Amino acid sequence: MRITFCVIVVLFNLIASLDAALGDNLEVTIDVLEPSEEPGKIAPGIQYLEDKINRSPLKYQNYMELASAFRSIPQGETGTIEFNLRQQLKLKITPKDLGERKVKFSLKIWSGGSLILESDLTLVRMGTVMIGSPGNPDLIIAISEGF
Amino acid sequence: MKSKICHNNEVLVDAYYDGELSPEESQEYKSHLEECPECAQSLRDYGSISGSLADLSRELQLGEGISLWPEISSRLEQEHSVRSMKSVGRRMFLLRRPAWMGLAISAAAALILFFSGAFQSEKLPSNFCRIDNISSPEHNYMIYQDKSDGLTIIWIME
Repeated sequence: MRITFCVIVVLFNLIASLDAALGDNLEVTIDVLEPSEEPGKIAPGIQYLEDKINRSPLKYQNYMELASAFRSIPQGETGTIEFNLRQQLKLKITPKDLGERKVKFSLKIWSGGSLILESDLTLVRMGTVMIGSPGNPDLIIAISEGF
Repeated sequence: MKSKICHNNEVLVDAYYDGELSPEESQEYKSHLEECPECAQSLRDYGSISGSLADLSRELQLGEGISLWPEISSRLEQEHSVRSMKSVGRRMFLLRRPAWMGLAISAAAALILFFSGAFQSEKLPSNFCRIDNISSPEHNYMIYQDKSDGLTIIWIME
């Protein structure tokens, strides 16, 4: 009986360590898009977003990829991503909880020096969240995990 | 002086009652009974006992009046149950004997549960996103979430 209990505990520990090993870093990809009403197509670099955009309420004709970045951010650290576009964008991403299936992180976005968004998000692994940033033109920031 | 029939009376009474005597033997036995009061009394006693046994037999088989059968049947069933439990106990004891068997069963069950995904919660949409906290100091914002895949769009307005 005692041996059986020990085996079960060891298996649970293995599962827990596997879960931790899978989620050491937040692998995040940030794509900045400029939507417009001009006829066009979704840029090749962001084809993975086509299906998501087509099913969303966004009805722009064209989505141009302005910039892209990838960061692997360990838990407890903060990754800073800056894009020097017509409007300067700065993102700070801090992983808070990296699970096997979901990641929790805090997100701060500055546009032109002013904080426009502060949020805590829980995102499924391999999932995408989009943020529409005001400006001239508007920008769409797609944050994807695990790509 | 006792006759040959008197000496064999016990056997002859049985045979007489069971109809095993030939007509001649039966007639000879009846004639003897008229002359021998001891054998006649033996036949009456035998008849009395036989009649009582027949009555008891009818009660037990037909359930008339007081019957012992329900009590006997109940006790037999109880005894059968106890024997069955003892038998199961012996089988369980035999299964527990190998020390590695419990370990192997536990490990197999844990592996099956692990690989079957029993430890995982419900399936999440492909773009599941939960907004735990949100603020925009200088702007209003709208939140769209797709019902099918959970895609979330936070749209910050001028």
